[in-house]
Amino acid sequence: MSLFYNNYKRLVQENNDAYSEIPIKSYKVLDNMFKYLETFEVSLFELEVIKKDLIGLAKEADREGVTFVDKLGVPEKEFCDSLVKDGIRPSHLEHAIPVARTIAVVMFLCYTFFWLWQGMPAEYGVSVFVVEMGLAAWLFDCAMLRRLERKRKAYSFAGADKKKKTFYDLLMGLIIFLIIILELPGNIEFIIRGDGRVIFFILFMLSIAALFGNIYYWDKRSEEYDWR
Amino acid sequence: MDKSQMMKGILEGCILKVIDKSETYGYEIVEQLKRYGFTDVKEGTLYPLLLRLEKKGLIAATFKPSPLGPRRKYYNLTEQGKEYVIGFYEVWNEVRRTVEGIFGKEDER
Repeated sequence: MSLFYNNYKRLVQENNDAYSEIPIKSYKVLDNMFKYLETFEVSLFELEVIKKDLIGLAKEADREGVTFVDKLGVPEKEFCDSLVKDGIRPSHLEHAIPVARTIAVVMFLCYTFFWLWQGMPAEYGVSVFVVEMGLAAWLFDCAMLRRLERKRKAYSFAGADKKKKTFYDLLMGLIIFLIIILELPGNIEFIIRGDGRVIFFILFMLSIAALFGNIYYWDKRSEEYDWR
Repeated sequence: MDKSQMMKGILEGCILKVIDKSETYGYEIVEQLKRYGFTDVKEGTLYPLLLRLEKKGLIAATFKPSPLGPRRKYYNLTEQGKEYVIGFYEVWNEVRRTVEGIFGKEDER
């Protein structure tokens, strides 16, 4: 079992490989459809399962000698709206678990960096800075990265008014992020004090647990779908 | 006469019955529905319905190679789906008898 590879990533890779084999016309249509679907809050795993099926549909269309659009039989946007309406919604865990992994790993790396830098003192602690880096990682991963990516994709489908609002949302997000980073304190102030090696070990175990938890979650999620 | 509203209510039950006959996938379901007279149904209209039925637990999906080669979702009916089909057919017969009764009485006048 790899710490960084799980069934979700396997499915994404499988879809990317299959995607490269379909005709360019079908590829463009599918690409637009997937980008459109990703502008909604949709289940990541379920979306990949749907992609796998639609890629199969595109390949079938190619073998039948018809276009993907003809085989689909309905306008692409109408099709995607139906999928979203019929509920490909993410679970809360799908958001929370990857974010918890990111926070745990970032805090561990920050703590380790400063502890090593200061010569691995026996008496050490978790500083405010480490906690703030964890919060910044949450803000970046959850609030900015995922929302930003969704808004970026939605931007290309939006009308002029929505584009302006999206632009201002993005600008505000970037300003908030920069303020958090620039306002981080220069001096080290510990909120948890103790044996440096024990704290290192605890943070290390929490990171490993978060990484394995992430893998376990996606592999468990994949059992809901007979996707192989 | 726009039959889409009427279709919405009965298409799910008919799809489930088609799946009940044998494990099948989107293209075959569309072809079977066309043979029975549902000529307006395409894979694009069917797919979201199949997704909804899967979410309701009435059908289960497995990926298998299709007759044309690519792996596609094959559907089979769950126990819950089988009960739903029986219930749907009972309700359909009830509605059919009522409507025929009304139209029959209209014809008599």
